[in-house]
Parts: sequence; structure tokens; C-alpha cells
Amino acid sequence: MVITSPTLFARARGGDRFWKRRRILSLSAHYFGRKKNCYSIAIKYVNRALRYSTIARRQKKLDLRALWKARITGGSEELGTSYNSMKYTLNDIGIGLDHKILQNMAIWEPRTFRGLALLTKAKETEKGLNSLDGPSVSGVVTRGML
Amino acid sequence: MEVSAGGESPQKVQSMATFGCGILYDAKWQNPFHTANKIKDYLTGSTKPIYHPLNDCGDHVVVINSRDIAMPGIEWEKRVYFHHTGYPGGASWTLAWELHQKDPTLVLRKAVYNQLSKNLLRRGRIARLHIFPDDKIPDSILQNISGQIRQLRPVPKRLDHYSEEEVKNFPKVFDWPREYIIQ
Repeated sequence: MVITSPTLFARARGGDRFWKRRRILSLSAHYFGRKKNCYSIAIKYVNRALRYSTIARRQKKLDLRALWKARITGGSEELGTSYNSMKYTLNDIGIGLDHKILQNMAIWEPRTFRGLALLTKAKETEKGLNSLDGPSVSGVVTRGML
Repeated sequence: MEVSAGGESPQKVQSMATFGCGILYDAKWQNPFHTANKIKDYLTGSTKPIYHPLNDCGDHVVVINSRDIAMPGIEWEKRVYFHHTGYPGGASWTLAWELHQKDPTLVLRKAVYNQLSKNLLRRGRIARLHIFPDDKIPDSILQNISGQIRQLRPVPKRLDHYSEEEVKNFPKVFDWPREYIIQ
């Protein structure tokens, strides 16, 4: 006995109405109501879902990139440097760490990340950037004041 | 976050890691809208590397001296806060200076609330903001403060707050002529 179902399912591009419908209905199998079983209703919702997933493949990358940027900003600013400083300085030195690795280090390897932040600051001082003394520390509340 | 050796749930470990951070901010002579933009980051937790939009990792922010905030330009007279009771004719418009007289914390609270992102987390985030009109903080809150936000701008000092000696000893470029009338 030859089992033809997988082959026919994969080959269904047109012609065979049953297998064409199987392809669509397999994508709508987890929907609710008649969207699940009626082809003419299912096809509308499957098309819409495929449209969304096409957009989402791009959107996911943008969202993750924004998240990584926010995390690196948070991690670098508590160490006294900034996202832009770290990005450009590490690039200049030739440390090839991308956003994903950097944000991972900020969370899981805080000492490594601090090393990179200190390296950024040292390199900037060497270049003559941010090497002047900063503003005075007025406006800081200390223990005795309250 | 990773599961700790004690077998606690990941959520609990994370909340323990980010718990109890009270950040102090002195709002004296500060612009409430620029301040709100700064405070917003601490309430959402985006100052931390573990930040995620759905992650509840914000800090508590304790603001003191909210009575002494400084509005830019003519905002005290021109900025209007709108409220509607829901009934016909229930609309009311309150000027900023009137609102500040009624409740000296409300201008800052609304500024922060409006700058937080508009989603279901907003109410929870604003609940972490503690505003006090003066520098009297309950001890229960003061004990949990572990950090502070620098003031955005220096507090200006008025001429009548300088001592007479300081004013007298201030270096002068020239003396007015004896017959010159200063109005």
C-alpha cells in the first residue's frame, strides 16, 4: 500500500480542489467557529493571517532592535556612559559585539559589560572627549539634610 | 530570569531583584514636564538592562517639595486642566495655579501620568509614584529609599536670600555717578 497523502498535500498547487482546500484548512485548524471548517470563510481569515505574518517578520526585527537599544541605554547610563558612546567607541576599537550580545552581557554578565563601559570612557578620555571636569554636584540630597 | 537554587519561581526571583528601590527626587524649582519625562523612565524600569515593555520592573519614585515646582513662562495662568463629571453641563476648566492651590501634588502627577505610555500598565506604574508637597516623608518610605535622581537644573537663589555682607562684598564693575537717579 502506498500512502499518497503527504505527497499530494505537498504538490497541491491547483487542479485538485480537495488538496488545495486541505492546505488552507490546515492553516485555519486552530480558529474558532466556521472560520475553522468552511473553506470560503476560512480563506479570508487565512489570507489576513498570512498578510499579518509577512509584516510581522519585519516588525519583529525592528521591535527587538528597539528593545535591545533601550536595554543597552539603561545599562550604559547607570555606568556613566551612553548608548551612542559605547556603540561608536567599541566600533572604533574594533570590538565586534552586536546589539544582541551587548544587551545580553548587560543582563547576564554585568562585570564584562562594566569593563566595556570603562573601556569606552577611557578611550573617550584618550581621544579628548568628555575629559573636562563635569558640572559640580550641587542638587544632591544627603543623609543629614532631611 | 534564572530559577534560583531555592526553587522559587522566576517571577519571584526577578521581583526580589528589583524590589524595594525607592528613588528620591527633589522637585524644588524644577519644570514639572521635564521632570515627568525623567521620572517616567524610572517608573517603567527602562533605566535597567532587564527592561521589557511587559516586564513589571519599575522603581518607586518619591518626589519631595512638589509645592515648589516652577512652571515655564506664563503656564500657571494659561495652562488649563479639564474635567467632566459625565452629566450634562458637568464640564469644568481649572487653571494650573488654581489646581496647585487645591492640591500641590496634582500638577506633577498629571504630567507624569500623561507621559506614561497609554496601556494597561499605566495605573500600576503611577501607583509607584509618591509625591509630597514638602520635604516631610513618612519613615516607612524614607527607610526604603536607596537612590536619587539629580535635579535637572540648579535652584536659583533670590537676591534677598543673600546676606547683606555677601551683597556688599560682591565685586562691582563701576560706581553710579552721584547725581544719577536709579528708578
